[in-house]
Amino acid sequence: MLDIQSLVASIGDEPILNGLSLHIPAGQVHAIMGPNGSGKSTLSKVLAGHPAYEVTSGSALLDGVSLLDLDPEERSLAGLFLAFQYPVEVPGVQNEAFLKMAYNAHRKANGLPEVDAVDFADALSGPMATVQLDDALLSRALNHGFSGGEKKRNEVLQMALLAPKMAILDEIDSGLDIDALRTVASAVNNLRSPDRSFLLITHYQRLLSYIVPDVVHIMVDGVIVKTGDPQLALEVEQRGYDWVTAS
Amino acid sequence: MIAPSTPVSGLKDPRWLAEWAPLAPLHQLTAPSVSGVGVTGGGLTTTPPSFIWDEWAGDAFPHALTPLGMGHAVWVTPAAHCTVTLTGNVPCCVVIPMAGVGNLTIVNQATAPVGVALWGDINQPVSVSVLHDHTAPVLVTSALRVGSGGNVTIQGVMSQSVCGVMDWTCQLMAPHAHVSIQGLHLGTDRSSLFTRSWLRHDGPDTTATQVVKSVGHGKSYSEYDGTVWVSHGAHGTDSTQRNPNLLLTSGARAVSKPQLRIYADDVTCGHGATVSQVSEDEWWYLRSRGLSRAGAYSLLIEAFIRDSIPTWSGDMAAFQTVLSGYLHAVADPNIGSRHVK
Repeated sequence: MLDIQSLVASIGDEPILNGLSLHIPAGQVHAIMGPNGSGKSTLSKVLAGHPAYEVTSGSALLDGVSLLDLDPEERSLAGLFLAFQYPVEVPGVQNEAFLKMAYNAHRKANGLPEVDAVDFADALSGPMATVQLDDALLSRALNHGFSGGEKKRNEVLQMALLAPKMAILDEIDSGLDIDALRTVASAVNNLRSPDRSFLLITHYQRLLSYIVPDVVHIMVDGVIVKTGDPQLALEVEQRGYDWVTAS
Repeated sequence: MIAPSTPVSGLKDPRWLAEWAPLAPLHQLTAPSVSGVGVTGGGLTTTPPSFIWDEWAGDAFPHALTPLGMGHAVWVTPAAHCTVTLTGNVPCCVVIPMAGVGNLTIVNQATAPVGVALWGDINQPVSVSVLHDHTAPVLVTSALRVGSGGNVTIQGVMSQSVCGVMDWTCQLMAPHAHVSIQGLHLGTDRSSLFTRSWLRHDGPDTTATQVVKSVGHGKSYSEYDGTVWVSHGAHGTDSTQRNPNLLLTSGARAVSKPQLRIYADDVTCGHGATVSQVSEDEWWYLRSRGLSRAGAYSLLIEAFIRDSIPTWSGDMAAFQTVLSGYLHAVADPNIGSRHVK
């Protein structure tokens, strides 16, 4: 599914990723934990094509397709989805209209006819129920004035709607109360399937109690320094990152 | 009859307009039957214009309109709700008294310079939408005296014009009079678009909001020059000015001149101006969901525009046409570049 080899990336003159390698097979959920500033969010932004980051070497393949050669929209259409840590507010763009545009862009890329408003409402109803987003937020401007929890639900709504092959969830648990966390985790778990993979980026083991990963990685200074099973997250929670770097 | 005692903002010496047409003496103004002057719309009546100059000699409008070389003048009395479409091919000025008007849309498609003057005492809710979508110069000017019960919404959109000016002068006379000005400059090539406003709060507890937005492209120029005057005794005035500008090219320029003159206590006035480009983060966010590079870019421009005029009170189809035309004009399929190699 996702195969990253020796990825080196920087912002300005500051190197963030220093030869990171990561392989996520189809159907698996991987989690990356790490201290602040270790490059976790940078990894997600580089994979989704943020314009501020420059990749100087390495590769990232999604089912054999080189993501780094694609524009951000082409990566999305190739099946990559990033749930943003800080979803961007876009005043003036209605949420539902945006969702329909994104949905139709994916249908078009898959050779399917675009849907009208009625058919789109049908397509949206399932994901809406899953994330329990207030209907009123559909007619508001995209993320504009949404609470932290509403923004995260809206991210997961987009993920459920666009049905990506590979979803990266960047601190999907931050800003969520416990009920919202359960809802979001349940929505993610519902989307788990043999042909879909997830990469969870988080600071806290708590998320991993709700979305149980197959593999846990610890990232420090732009590289993966330790890989293990979910037990590793519990150990880090108890002993801190110093233990990882010392061991 | 209204006779503004306040100075009318900035059009006494518009040399940049004079080059578009030779000056015409006022006495050459003729009746609206002159061929080439096109004014159509439901419920309109027209009368010879001599009355205008009897009433207004030496006042704001002759000063403002003379430089356009208005060879012909049309006096138009609109119905309570109507659309006036200007389609002439000779310079003219159209004078519209606003008494009794509820909802007025003016669509200017004239191929010659056109001046529009709106004036009158307003003691009722009024909305005026002016849509200019042609390369010919245009000058729209108002002198509205807003009294008790007066609630004025002015929407002015200029697109394509090589030289366009909307000059809104309003005097808020009685308590709770309200004026809302929503302006939109859609600049292309070498267009120069100006919105000037002179709002004078004379009565207590009067309120006004101004939002004038511009989108710049090519080497276009946009200027907002707005003055809010709060007279002695106009306590409780609440007046705001906002002027956000979106520049799409490095050659486009925007100038903002908000001014406050406050001679009363206990007033709330504020102004703010911003200049920005299309946000890289917003653009990337939309693209990360599969929207095309050019499509997302266009969507963000449209969002900026729609956010300025959330409810278009005039002819929606005409507004959509102007908006679509503009987005098409500034669309660039090669905008941006592949960011991450």
